[in-house]
Amino acid sequence: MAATSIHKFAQCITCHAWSPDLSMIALCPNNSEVHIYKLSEDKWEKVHVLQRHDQIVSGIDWSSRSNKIVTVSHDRNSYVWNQEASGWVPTLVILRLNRAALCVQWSPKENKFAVGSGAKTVCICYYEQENNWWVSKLIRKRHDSSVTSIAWHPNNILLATTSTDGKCRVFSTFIKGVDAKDSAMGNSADTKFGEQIVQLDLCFCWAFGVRWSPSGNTLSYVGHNSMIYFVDEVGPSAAAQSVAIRDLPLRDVSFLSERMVVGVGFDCNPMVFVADESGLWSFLRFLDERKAASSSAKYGSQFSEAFGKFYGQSKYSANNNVEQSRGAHDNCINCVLPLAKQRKSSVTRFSTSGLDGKVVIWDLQKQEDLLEYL
Amino acid sequence: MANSLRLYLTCIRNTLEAAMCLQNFPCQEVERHNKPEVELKTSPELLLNPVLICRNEAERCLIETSINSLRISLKVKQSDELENILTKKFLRFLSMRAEAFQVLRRKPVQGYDISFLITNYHCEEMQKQKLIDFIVQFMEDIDKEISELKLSVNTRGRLVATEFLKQFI
Amino acid sequence: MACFERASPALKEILLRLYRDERTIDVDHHLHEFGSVEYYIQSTVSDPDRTYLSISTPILSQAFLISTRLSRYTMEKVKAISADVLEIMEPPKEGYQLTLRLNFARMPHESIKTITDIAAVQGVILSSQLEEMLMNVNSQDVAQGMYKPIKLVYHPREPFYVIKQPQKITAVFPMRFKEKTDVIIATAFFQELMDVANSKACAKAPHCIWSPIPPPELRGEAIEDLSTNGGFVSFDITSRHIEGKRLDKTVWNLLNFYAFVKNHVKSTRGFIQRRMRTCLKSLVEVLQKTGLQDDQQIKKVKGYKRMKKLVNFSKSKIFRYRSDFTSKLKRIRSRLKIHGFGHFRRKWLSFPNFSSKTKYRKLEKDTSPQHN
Repeated sequence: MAATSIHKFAQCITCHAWSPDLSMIALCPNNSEVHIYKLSEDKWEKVHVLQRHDQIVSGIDWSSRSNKIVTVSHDRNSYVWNQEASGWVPTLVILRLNRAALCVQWSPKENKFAVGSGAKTVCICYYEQENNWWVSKLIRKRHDSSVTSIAWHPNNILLATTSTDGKCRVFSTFIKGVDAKDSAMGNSADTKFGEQIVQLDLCFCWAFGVRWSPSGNTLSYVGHNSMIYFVDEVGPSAAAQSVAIRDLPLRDVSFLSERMVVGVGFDCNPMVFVADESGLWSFLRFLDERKAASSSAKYGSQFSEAFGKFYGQSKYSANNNVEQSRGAHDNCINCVLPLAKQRKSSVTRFSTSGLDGKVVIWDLQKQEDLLEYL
Repeated sequence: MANSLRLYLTCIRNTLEAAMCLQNFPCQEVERHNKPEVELKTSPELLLNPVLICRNEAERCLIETSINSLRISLKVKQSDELENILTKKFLRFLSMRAEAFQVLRRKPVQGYDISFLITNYHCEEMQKQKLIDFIVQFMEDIDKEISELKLSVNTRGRLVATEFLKQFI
Repeated sequence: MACFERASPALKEILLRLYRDERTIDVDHHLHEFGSVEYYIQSTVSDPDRTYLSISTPILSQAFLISTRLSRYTMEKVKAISADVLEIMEPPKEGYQLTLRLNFARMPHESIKTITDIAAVQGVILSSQLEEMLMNVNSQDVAQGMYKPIKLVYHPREPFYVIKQPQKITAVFPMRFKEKTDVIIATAFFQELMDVANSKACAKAPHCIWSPIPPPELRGEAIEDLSTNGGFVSFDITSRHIEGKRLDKTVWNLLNFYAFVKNHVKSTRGFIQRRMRTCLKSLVEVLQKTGLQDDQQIKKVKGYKRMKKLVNFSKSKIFRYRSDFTSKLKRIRSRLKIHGFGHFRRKWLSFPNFSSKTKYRKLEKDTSPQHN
């Protein structure tokens, strides 16, 4: 089975993030708090509750090297949490937003983080040593609607965004004094802060869940019109591929390798997309094999209720058998993260969380048909 | 007729399944607000094209979708005055008890008899499939209930009329 | 008079009390019924044998009666109630059409029946007037070709017409209702009434017609009497309906037709309401089943700010509603056990999520099995 661990943490989870060593998980149980759980002896234990926001927390990212947590919330604020002896200590980041913050991500070098917002702007935040202060620089123009997702290019300069105006854009976030000019960055080092590199106008509906491939050569994002887009050679001569799916729209994507993407969304079942040798992307299959069962059990609510009870009681003992008829997730999945201790070109494990309050860890090690793409 | 009802309901069910892909989405226009966009309609890009499903001229279903909310409005068949008044009464009765239904809108959208408002919060606490089952069963029940109600009102009338006239004999 | 019971219950009770009790105080009592009927009861301690009952009632038809005095036929009918006990005073007290002197000392054995009959005196007065009219069906008026409708006002808002024709008398009821719903329920009823009247089973009953426009017989009547929202119901009364004992029944039915229809409308509305309530209950149950299966039975106690505003009800209102409801149920439960009610209550009370003032969620690990 692809799902190796299923745990229900709350009624509903908005987002989650892993500690650098993958022993702890930070998640928002659909309220203004962030709960940190630690796995000890096969049991999840709540070790910390971060309480500072006063509206729902919409984004969490846990930096893998500096062990800092950044959280953003609909209350327009962001906090950077540092682990000290007394626990997690928050530092307020003045984002200068007048609308909700929607998503957050540490840059690969962890000297910056980006925040997408409902104010149709993106904030790039960096630390000013002299003031002991996180400063926010805004990319104000360009977005015509809320910024739903952001993704850092491995070069630490380029930032991709998706918005509910349907566009995917790539910006330069070069900040003097923070980013050093480096030959490895190529042309992007010559760009100014906030300059738009490219605007991809492929989707006619809302766009979500943008991610770069590990090498930064391919960009992928999804549209609410049940499409997933793959863009190679991002720049003036970008090559884009659109793949339509016949199921419900996706919400988030994650690259597992240069040739494999997993997409999650309203179908409650991760979808695997792969590229063949020529670089042509296509939908391969669902990861959670239970499509037939779920559609046949549509009506008979009594039966499925009884089954639900059975499932509830037996979940811990024998979840392997039950998954076939009821998937690992039973509500929309809105977050997918690769599970790797360091940045690697390919990972076999990833985690998903969704509105059903579960965090599911998937392992593709035994999925023989998928291994060739990893 | 029964067959056409099934087709109508299946169509609504399928549309709802596709439309009920909602997410938490804060208001772009008002600070620190989170309102159903389908009601506010302030950001046109957050609305999808409404879908109108008609069974016939008298019965139709309008499904309006936005990023965080969904509005379903029903026009129920009313073939005569008695059905009309029964439908109105019944749906008003239900609307006044909207708190029991959570997803019921207190006032129907103009031109419709009853409206439901489903938000991302409902999708967080209820199973989507069962929520759709509820809407469809609601429609079925209303249809059935109105016909039965009409029948029994007429039956009662007949009994009472017979009683009255018997007194003359 | 819109009443199925002939005797006035209030008057009956007063008379019964006067008859049974030791009279220690003087009684001087005015009693109003249906807005247009007035009773006046007088009794003194000094003269216990004499109780005066005066009645003022609208005259059925101004056109038909020459004076405001009651006809001899009516007087006879009243006297026939109980010749022993009551005596008609001449002239009646001022402002009343009839004054009776009651002598309870001469009450026959079946006193309750007699008192009930006396309490029904207004009905007697009323029906006797109509009876008199109906009995004259075959008499001289018809011969003279007088088909002019007679307007009968037994209640100011509910006049009806009696039209004498050869071989029959037609009673026409213009129907008016306050609400549209009533009109529609009544209209459905009238259609059934027509159907039934034309069926074989009721072949002997009066022929009945409902029409939304006034029947031709009423041509020339005042326009305000002919404007209705419920149409016109006419009954053709033939001589067989006024033979002997049937006369009394026919008259009573006609006088009570309005009340009968109104009662039907009222009870139908109640019936609809009851059915709607049952349906609501079953629909709510369906919705409750939509809740997610909580594997760990997490009881959510999260405030639902936005939702509350959306559907526009306040927390306190829900609380009040719920607590009212619970206390009512408790009361019900303590008195009588209704099977299945506890189940309903449990369902009802466990369902809303809009409780709580804290923003925290309580994690309750309930190991006990669920209620089945």
